[in-house]
Amino acid sequence: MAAHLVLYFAVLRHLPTFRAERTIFLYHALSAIGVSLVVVASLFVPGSGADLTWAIVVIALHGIYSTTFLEVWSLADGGYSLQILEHLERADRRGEEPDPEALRAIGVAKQGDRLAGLASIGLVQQEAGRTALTPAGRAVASCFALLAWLTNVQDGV
Amino acid sequence: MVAVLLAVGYFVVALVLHAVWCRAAQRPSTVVKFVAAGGLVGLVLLGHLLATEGPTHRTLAGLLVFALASELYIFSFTLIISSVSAIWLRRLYRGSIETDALAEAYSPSWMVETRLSRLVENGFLARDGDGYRLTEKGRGLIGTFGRLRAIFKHERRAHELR
Repeated sequence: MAAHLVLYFAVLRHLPTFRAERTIFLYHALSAIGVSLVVVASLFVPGSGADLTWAIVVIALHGIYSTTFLEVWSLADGGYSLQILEHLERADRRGEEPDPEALRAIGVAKQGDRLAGLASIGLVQQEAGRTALTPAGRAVASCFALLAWLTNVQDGV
Repeated sequence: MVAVLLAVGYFVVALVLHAVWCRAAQRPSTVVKFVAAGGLVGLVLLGHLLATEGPTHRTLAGLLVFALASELYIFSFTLIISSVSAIWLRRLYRGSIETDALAEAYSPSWMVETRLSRLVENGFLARDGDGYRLTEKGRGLIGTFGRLRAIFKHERRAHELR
């Protein structure tokens, strides 16, 4: 994990391809899968000294490392709220009024092809001008609904 | 394995405490509530594991499983609150809707207003007459993420504001 992190900061972050969300996700996903396979395989090697508890320690550590890294990377890439704050800060610095149209433009860009994206990964289907969940989409949405219920989210959805 | 099962059990306790707190009070934010409830439960778990397993790798495994579950939970509920795709999926869970009506109901204006309200609730913005002004906390956040953007070498996207 230390080598994985050092390699990223020393070399990979300077490469244009590592500025893409897909690449950075694959960099962590492949590492997590690889480490998990090696750790699980070592359980079956006589004399390796590995046991299930150590395997859980290593896999959980990698999970925490990768999740934290991807969250921070993604937030720094410019979340919607952060872009709104930056716009207000720029307007304030220039002594101008914030431009509501510019704020809406971020929303348009974010909304973009969201629906098409959900359809392409098989979570929603569009027929005769209506949008509905597929069975896979219903499974994902039911998890989201449970989380919203647990956290008592009140956002009018 | 007992340590891992204990961690799962304690995580469920943290979930229940968080759910109750989210219904009992609006403030502080959902994330802060879980950090407080989860942190407290995590400390009790640490005490329990040290008492039963001692300072061993089994205790470490239990704590790491609890920490990973907590982090994934925080990631998941912040996703359902903030992601447009997740919000649409939750809306569609209630039933199908005309595509145009879906886009209109969750329009860019609605998205901006929702974000502004949340930024005010969390102290990053303050209402100033008809508009908003940045608080010190908001300026600090911009500075922090500006530094992170430089570290990760993120480029400005085409739709970002000038």
